[in-house]
Amino acid sequence: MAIVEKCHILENVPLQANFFRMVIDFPAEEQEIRPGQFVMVRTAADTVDPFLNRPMSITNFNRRQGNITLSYQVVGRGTRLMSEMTAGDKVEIIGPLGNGFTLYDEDEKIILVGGGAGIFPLIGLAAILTSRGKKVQALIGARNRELVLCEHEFTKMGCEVKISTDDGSMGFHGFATNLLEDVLQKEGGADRIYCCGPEPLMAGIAKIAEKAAIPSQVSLEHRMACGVGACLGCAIRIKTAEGEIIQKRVCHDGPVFAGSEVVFGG
Amino acid sequence: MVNLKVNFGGLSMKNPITTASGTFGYGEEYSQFYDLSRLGGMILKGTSVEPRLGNKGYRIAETPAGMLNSVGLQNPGVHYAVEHYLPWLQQFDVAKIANIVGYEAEDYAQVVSIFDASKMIDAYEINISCPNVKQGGMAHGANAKTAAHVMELVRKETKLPVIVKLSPNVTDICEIAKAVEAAGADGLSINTFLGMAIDVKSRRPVLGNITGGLSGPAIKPLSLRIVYQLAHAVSIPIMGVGGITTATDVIEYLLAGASAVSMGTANFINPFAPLDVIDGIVEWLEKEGETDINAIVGGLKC
Repeated sequence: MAIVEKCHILENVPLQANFFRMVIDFPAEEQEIRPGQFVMVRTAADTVDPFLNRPMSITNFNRRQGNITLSYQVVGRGTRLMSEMTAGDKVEIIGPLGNGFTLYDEDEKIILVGGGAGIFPLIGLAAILTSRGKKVQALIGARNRELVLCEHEFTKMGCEVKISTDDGSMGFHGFATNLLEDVLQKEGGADRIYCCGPEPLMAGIAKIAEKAAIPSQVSLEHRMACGVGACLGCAIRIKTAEGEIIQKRVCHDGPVFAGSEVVFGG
Repeated sequence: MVNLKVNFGGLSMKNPITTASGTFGYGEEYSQFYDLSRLGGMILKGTSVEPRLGNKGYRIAETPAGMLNSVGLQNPGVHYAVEHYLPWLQQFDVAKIANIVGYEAEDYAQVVSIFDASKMIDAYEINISCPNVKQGGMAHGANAKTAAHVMELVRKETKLPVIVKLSPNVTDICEIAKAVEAAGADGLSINTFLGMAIDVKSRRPVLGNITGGLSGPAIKPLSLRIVYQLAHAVSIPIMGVGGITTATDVIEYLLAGASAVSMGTANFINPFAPLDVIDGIVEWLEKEGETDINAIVGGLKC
């Protein structure tokens, strides 16, 4: 159940490069939050700039302390204004929204693949998976070593971390898709793959997973106006089990979908 | 205690606040936030005979104090809407206004007759002004003759109030308004303004459909002017729509001559916006010593 709430910023700090992390006093103890869900964030109370709320994935949440963590990259005016806010400032939050990742008790070995800012929603997922004693490998893809995110957070949770950089400045030289192929070839399969990142990465990971007969889930990103399923601004094409092409809303029906059902580039 | 009850061309509503078509689905999404019975009316998602997938590519672009959309009338078709959404909607004491779209003039009449047979709709809004489809849509609303033709065909199918949603993207909206009034329309509303956004980095349009309908506070002065012009051109009631986010915005539209209003884009910013506005109107009327909202309509001093 989503709520609309004015929340205080508890912390808003730079991570590295143009990435930031914001902790907000959201009543997480009362809301059922699942990894992979998102919130709509409004920084501009009582003004029209920026006009639309921004969809942001939930990096992590703390039920006991009643807060949620959002991580974001400054890409435009909206995120720049967000990065300039400080502890004590207020943001308006609509959430939690969408369906998060679906977890399966019988899974033992799980691979997470995150590219760029797509690594963030996988942190909350890894926290739950490792707390349930699952063997988790986190594959982090980035353009170069300066942009490799959250390596130590995954290590601290007990994940086995592997890194790929496009320019080879750190870890595996190549894309995260190449790294996944390498890992699957050398170490055998996995019970499930979860992925979030740029669309070409998710398309590639979904394809590799399907070829290896490993079920995958991808968390999509889209431009949104309402975030709750009403405006139909974030429609994507989905291929049903019967082969029919239908439309779903990233915000309401996702943002997590089975890798095999998404028509990428559709 | 102030009276908020309005009669809009035969449609009785407990207050003049409706939610605009295409911004509120069939009500399901926003029912998680509040009781839809608090609204005066809901104008449902534009519905056609057959299901439509809508446009490809980006459908949303943020603009200064507004947004562009080019959804392209994605909807599940009238049969699905009647079967899956309308029975659920009956639990709410709110005017249910079906928004009708079509390729051909005959399509509008067909959708209306199917909704009419369900007896679960209270009024219609005929969308002859969607800027986002190549066929039908705005083409019907672009001149007085074709607009009146659609209205005539629809009039034969229903006795319920029919609102015609006009396109503001025309030279003389008053001429078209008079034509649909003569053809039996019970009320008028206004669609979005055709606009465009460009991403200079890629040198491409932001929207997959290249152009889209502009909404939000950016268009309020434009729509307000149109409502004022229409109020002087026709005698049927006008639904003020365009950039309403506050109670003050509503009062402005009512003074200009609107008898009720629609809120659209404001729902995206704050799901509770329509309720905040209703409370704000009561507060304003009480402060002004007014006892009936209808007394404000057309009260502009010029």
